[in-house]
Amino acid sequence: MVSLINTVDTGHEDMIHNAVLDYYGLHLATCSSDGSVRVFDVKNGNQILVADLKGHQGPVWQVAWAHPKFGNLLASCSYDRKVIVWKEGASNEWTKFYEYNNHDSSVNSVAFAPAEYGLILACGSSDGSISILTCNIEYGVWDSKKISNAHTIGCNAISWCSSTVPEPAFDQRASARNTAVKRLASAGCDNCVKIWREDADRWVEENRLEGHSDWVRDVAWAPSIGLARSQIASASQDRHVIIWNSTDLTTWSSTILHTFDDVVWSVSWSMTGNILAVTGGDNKVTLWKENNENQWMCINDDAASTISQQNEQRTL
Amino acid sequence: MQKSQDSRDRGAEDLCTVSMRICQEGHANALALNKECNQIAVAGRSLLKVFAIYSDGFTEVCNMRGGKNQNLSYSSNDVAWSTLDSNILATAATNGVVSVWDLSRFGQKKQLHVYNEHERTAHTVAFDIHDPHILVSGSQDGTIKQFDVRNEKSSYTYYSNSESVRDVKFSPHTQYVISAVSENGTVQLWDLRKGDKSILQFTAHSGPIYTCDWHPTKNWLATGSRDKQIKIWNMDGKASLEHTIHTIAVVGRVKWRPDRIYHIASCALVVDYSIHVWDIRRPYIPFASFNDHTNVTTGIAWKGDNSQLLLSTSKDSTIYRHAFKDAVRPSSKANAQGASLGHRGDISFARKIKLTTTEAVTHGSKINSFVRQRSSNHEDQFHLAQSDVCQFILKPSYIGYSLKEEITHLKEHECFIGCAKELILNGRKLVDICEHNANVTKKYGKHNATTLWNFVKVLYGSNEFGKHEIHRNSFSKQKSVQTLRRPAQITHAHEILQWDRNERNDNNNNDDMADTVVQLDMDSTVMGGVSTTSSKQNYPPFGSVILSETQILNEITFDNFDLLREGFIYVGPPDFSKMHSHQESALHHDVQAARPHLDLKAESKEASPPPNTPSVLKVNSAPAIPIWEPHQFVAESIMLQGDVGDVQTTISILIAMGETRKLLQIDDALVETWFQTYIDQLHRYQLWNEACKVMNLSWLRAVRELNQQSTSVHTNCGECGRSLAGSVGWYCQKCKSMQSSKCSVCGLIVRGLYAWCQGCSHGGHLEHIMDYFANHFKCPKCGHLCEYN
Repeated sequence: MVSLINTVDTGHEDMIHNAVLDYYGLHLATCSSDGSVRVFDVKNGNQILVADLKGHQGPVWQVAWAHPKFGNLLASCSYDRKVIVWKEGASNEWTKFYEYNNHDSSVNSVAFAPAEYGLILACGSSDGSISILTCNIEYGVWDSKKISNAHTIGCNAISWCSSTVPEPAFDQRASARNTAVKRLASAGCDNCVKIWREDADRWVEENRLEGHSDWVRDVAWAPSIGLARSQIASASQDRHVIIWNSTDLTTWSSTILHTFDDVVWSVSWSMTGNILAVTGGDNKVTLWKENNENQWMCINDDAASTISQQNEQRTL
Repeated sequence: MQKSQDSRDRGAEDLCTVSMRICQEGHANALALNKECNQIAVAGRSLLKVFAIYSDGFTEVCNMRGGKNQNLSYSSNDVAWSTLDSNILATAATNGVVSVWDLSRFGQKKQLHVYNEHERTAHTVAFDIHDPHILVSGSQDGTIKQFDVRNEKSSYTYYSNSESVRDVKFSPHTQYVISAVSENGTVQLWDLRKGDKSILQFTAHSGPIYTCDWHPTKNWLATGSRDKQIKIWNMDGKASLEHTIHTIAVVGRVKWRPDRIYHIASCALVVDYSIHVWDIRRPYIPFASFNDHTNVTTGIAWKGDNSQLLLSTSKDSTIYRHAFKDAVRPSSKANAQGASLGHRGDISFARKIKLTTTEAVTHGSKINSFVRQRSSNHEDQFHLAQSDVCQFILKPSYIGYSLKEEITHLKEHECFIGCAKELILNGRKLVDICEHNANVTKKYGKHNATTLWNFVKVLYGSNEFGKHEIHRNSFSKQKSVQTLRRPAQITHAHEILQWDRNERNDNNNNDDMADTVVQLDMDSTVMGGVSTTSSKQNYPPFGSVILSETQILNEITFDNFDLLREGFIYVGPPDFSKMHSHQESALHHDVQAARPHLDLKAESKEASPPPNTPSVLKVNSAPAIPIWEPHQFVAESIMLQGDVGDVQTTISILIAMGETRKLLQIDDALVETWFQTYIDQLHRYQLWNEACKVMNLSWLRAVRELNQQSTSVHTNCGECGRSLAGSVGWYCQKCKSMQSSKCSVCGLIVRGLYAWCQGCSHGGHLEHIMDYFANHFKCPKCGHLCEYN
């Protein structure tokens, strides 16, 4: 099912922690321990380095692309406690658009809210707090809100609920839509996934999903494709990936996707939310798909092993 | 002495983190360890104390701020312990006084010497490693002074020619050589015997250097600066830069770790309260961090040659002895993988390149200390990590396909784009649309979409339902009944179906839905013994999994009931199947609730299907079913299609059905999210025209309005410059002219595409304007510089 197209030499001097494709799938952003963020042009199967963004003084953990309607914006977060939003002005000329400096520890995760809400960025930090940064696009002014003590010891990952999830009590009037409730999920060192809801100008904890027995490393809210249910995937050091399902956003049921051989680092959904990519300490990427019996099947099992074999040969 | 010997021998017991609060007011600025490594001196604002270190904590031994003698010389920037005599200490005070203390004396007599020679703050003091009577100090006044503790006066003054000397360290490798770092970013080496000029000077940092430390074995000097970097200099001959470490804050102090060639500890002057231990070969991420202090760390020292214990003091007025095993390892907390799914079926995957050499660490000779071996292992593994990024492509799966199927070799996104461009949504009769679209989807391998289009064609193409809407018969009411799957009934059906189990109908191209063949491939080995529906079905290209529910299973042959639990569940209308059960064919609508909530584990334990299971199901013909209304069924089929992510098909069908769609009971909110998802997908593939078309054809206001965002064009009259807002066409109400509608090149009224300059409000026929501006820069009418470049 899966075959290797090519391997990119990123030129990063240390480990890469995140690789993200932009909205159109034309640019790949990578970030590394060496403090740099690199942008590659991935058109036509080739990767050409188009930008090397230096501004962080520590390892950069995660990058996130904004919706293209706001221009080419890339957010990065780092061990140096900073969040930087980069903007591409002229072609491939990137400048610092905004720098957020108000975390007391490493910032582990950044995620842009669905474009319908405007230009909003959420950041999760090892200081246990989550920041919600809202940009007033007209004036380029940023406003920040903070959920302090979101997770004791630290917040590892953030994921927004896609805006099109039908509300439990759906109102067909368009006016009700504009006040759509913003939600986000966060994963933390307290072994919990928490769901936060914006309530007036505050963020309140709406739900706490307990099921992992170790740090939750990543959380990913599945894109809604018109389903009357919400789905969240969470990955943990306890080697489990849990799929959380809810139809009303108040009660959540959990299914263990799989118990892996090693720590699971990240989960990400495909655009339509029907494929889940899982990566872990075993250095493999596995793709999962739910069949019509609500069972999760790995769809690239044998391919993954061949990938890692190739890799070992390469590094010898 | 005794105590220290004991604790060293006990080893492992000693390896725990202990801490103590050292004072109520004031804060610590520096600490120093005596030569036996069993006591530390802590100096700071209103503070100079000595503590004994035990395996379970600290005890205060001496407080030199007692009594009446409380002059400013007690506010110390640095403290040093004699390398010979455990009773002799030296401090550097903020008022420039360098003091020497003798702990063996009493009261005020403890203060052996007071060298009040520096004009400004003394930052640092150090005893000579080779000659313990020699003491040097560095000061803000830019001088380094050498003292002999047997004398009352300094023996020499060295002028650094810089504003301020921040740190002075004796070289452990060469006698008489000291390094001095200063706020102008330079490092100087002095030979204490040659006082007129430094023997080496170089600029090491772009900002003030606050600290330096000599490597215990190599001829390396580490410097830490306000530029947030630690630099490692090879001091053989001319200084050359070996490594640069990027920290996140201004570097306050650095200290090489004993026993570990590449490790160095650092603490920051501001912002960062942690102590980091770096492996200089991996300069971006600390090897280990101690996060115990609640304010900036001001003094660090390794406990002699014990690499497992680090002593520290901080502005939070505590002293800590950190056990290395309690340190956090930021690198191990870091995600070493990243995967991103592209919508073109590609995956970008970044992963750490595992060094195979690390596995080849020799375990041969028994090393006496287990701790030692383990940590040396760690050291080996903590090389600069590297990652690569791989790109993978998802391919259509051929698993479960019969070879007769024509398989498209296009990738999923190509199918999507192809369909988006070629599907016809309106403008023809429904039958034609359906037929065309069925062929399109077939061409792109979307077999379930093809089937759906065929359903719609057969069920709605005749317009039968559009005309008489009042067929609300029992079908929908039976829904709830259907969900009660009755084994008896199914086995009954099964008997019937057995009759033509050996027949195979290859004509699956036939548009007649009754002839649709669903092939069941019972080869359970495909998915490693765990039988699943998806592996048994006609399997579409990856990404558009056919659910059994979306296909009509005209006949199902079951050899055992277990198969039912693997996805094929007969859920047809009971009366309906009874009605036809005596005929040779039956139409089973396998739509409803084919989701048995089975335990995954239980299922996997189940035996694989029996060997002689027939693999083909077949249908002869479908009877006319005049009384049955398919609305519910079609609605659910469409919803299931949406459920698997194929909003393209669901939206296309709904649009194509026109008014008939109202018969289907699908929630508008759901349809709207389908629309939004589909439009978003089209945008991602940059199919703007298709997206626009879908918006235009939408019957939902919220979706239609998407087209009207920022589409207004502001026009001005070309004659008088007045805004034409509210005017009809290009007619200006002020100057009553239609001048603006005329082409400024040919003078005729423009019909069709009108190119027009927003600056001067003049324009004309697109072609004329293009021709004109190929050779001109200015507006043909008014000479305005229309072209920006």
